[in-house]
Amino acid sequence: MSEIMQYMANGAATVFTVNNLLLIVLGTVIGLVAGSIPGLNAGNTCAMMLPITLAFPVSGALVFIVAVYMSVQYGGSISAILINTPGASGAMATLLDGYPMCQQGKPAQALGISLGASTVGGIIATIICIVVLKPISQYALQFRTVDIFLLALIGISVIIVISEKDPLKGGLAGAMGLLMAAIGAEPTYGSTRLTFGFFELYEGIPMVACMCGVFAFPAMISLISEKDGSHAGKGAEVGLGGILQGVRLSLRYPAALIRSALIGLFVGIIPGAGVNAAALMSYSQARTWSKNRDNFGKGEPEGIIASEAANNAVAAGAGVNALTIGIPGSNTAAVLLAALTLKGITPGPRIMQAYGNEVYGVFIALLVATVLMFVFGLGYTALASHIIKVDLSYMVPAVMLICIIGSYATRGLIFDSYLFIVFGVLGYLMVSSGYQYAPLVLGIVMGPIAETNFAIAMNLSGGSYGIMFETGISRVIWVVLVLTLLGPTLMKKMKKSDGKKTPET
Amino acid sequence: MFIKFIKYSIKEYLFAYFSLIFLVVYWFSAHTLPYNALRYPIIISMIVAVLIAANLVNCVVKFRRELIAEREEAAAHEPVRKARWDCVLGLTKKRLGVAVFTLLHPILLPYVGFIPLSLIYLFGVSYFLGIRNYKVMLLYSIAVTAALYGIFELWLGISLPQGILETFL
Repeated sequence: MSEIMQYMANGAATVFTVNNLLLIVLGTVIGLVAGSIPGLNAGNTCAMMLPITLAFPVSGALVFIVAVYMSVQYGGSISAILINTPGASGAMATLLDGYPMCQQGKPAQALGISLGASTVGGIIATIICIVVLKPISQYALQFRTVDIFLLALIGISVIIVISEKDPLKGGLAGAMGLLMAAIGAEPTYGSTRLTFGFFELYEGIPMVACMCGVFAFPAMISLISEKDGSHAGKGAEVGLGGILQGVRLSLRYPAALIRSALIGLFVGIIPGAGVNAAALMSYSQARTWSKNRDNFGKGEPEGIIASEAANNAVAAGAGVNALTIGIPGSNTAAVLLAALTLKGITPGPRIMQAYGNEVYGVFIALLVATVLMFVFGLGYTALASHIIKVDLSYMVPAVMLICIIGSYATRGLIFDSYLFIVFGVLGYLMVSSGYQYAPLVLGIVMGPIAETNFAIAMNLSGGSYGIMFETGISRVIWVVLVLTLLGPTLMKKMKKSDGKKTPET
Repeated sequence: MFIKFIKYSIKEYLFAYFSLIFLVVYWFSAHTLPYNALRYPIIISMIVAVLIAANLVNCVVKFRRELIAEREEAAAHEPVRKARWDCVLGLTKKRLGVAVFTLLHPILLPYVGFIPLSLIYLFGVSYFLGIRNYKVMLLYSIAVTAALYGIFELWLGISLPQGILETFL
């Protein structure tokens, strides 16, 4: 326990500097604004911010990204409640009760409930994460290189299974991500692969160009409509008094707040489940346990609380496995890992030994960002009804330009701006033909981790694949991997066969 | 029928074709490397190859289902859904136009330079997207360009291409 306190003190020392606090403020404001604009979610906002983190030291870059991540989640609820369009995907469940409340003439109250629940959910989850971080990382230290390779495969397979309507499409996207990550120099021998003679590809695919291309380009192109660039719908006016009333109302549901935060945290820790699944699961649980279950979908405060407390708790949960095991729980956590990689830090079980203070600093920063999200959220929410009506015709070229220049700025190479376009077109084609880009991005982020650990394991074993089954941990991981891949298909088949049998019986 | 299949597979499985081309090019480029350097890519490539095959088989199966559904709709005198053979991938004139503008930006960047090209890009794209308030467009273009120049050139110290302004700056 004293060791955790020591880490927390050191982590707090890295966060509570003037520069880092200013970065958290900046990240919080950017997250609130971006989250409230439909089309911008946590993943693409954090990806767009990656080039800017180049200017910051390790701790600054991390606190900035997590502040954006946390506040985007609340920002997403603003447009969900006011114009029935979720800003971020995690706010999908929020609009089920938020928008009806707005239609009943209580938009400020609905936003206040959302703000209160987001804040409490974020704080509960972050505090739990701070407590469990050290034990998890100590357990993770027992993993050998081959186990880390297998964990990387689990990370991708879970994402394929859970996030995809079509697992075959998700599987191909994830495997292609791993193969694309094998472009450039091989980790142990240095032989170059598929660089087409471009020295720019020697170190592999540049993360910023890839992230900006895959996340931002398709999102921006998809926002362009043939009619006009402004959002449909009229945002209602909201006052500070109503927001505070809503905040107070949210605190009258402590059980819903705690349950939703725990669901969000748990789902966040599961690789691939994501913020949307957490919010919907929490909403469904709240409806089951609520006394007012008939009122759900008609403007029930508990519905907003369930969704918002859970989606903010996900941010903390996703951070735990991303940092301690090196498996990103969502595409936003993959961007967080990319930020680490850009700073020369390899995420994984050994991160706590070298960067323990920074890792604890991330969670302290999450706490600070949550509090600031509440403070700035009060002010921003009152203005947001005007901001969410921003004309997309202004936003699209500005975001594209940030990505082009951001890609260039990472290494000072115009080649990276070309790659932004290549990945952007690829991302758009994927989305248009029903392939999700999250597995591709995760494959690219996790590819180098998987390949390096695989190469080390093969060198240690003299090329024998038996090393992958040697220890108990490896065997357990294999069982989990097989269950992950086959479980959902078997469950579907069992359900189908049950359905066929029922009429006969 | 063949044309219909091609349209359907482009609409639904374009990424599988891209993956197939990528895999072939990858191995054409990498096959001469020593085995140790290729051990990992071999495993991943095999997985990719199996998944490409599975995707394409799935494409054929789903195409057959769509054909059957189309015949049933026609037999029942229902309006036949044309969308299933639409392979434009949501590309409208505006979307294509913005994509082309964005493609041209990095190509022209070293020659024209960041400041003039970004001003033209921001003004041009917002005009293309239908904005006609020229004062706001001009102010917006200058503000965004200045903000990015300030962040990247002045704050981060990254030298942005100066292009035609090289002699003046």
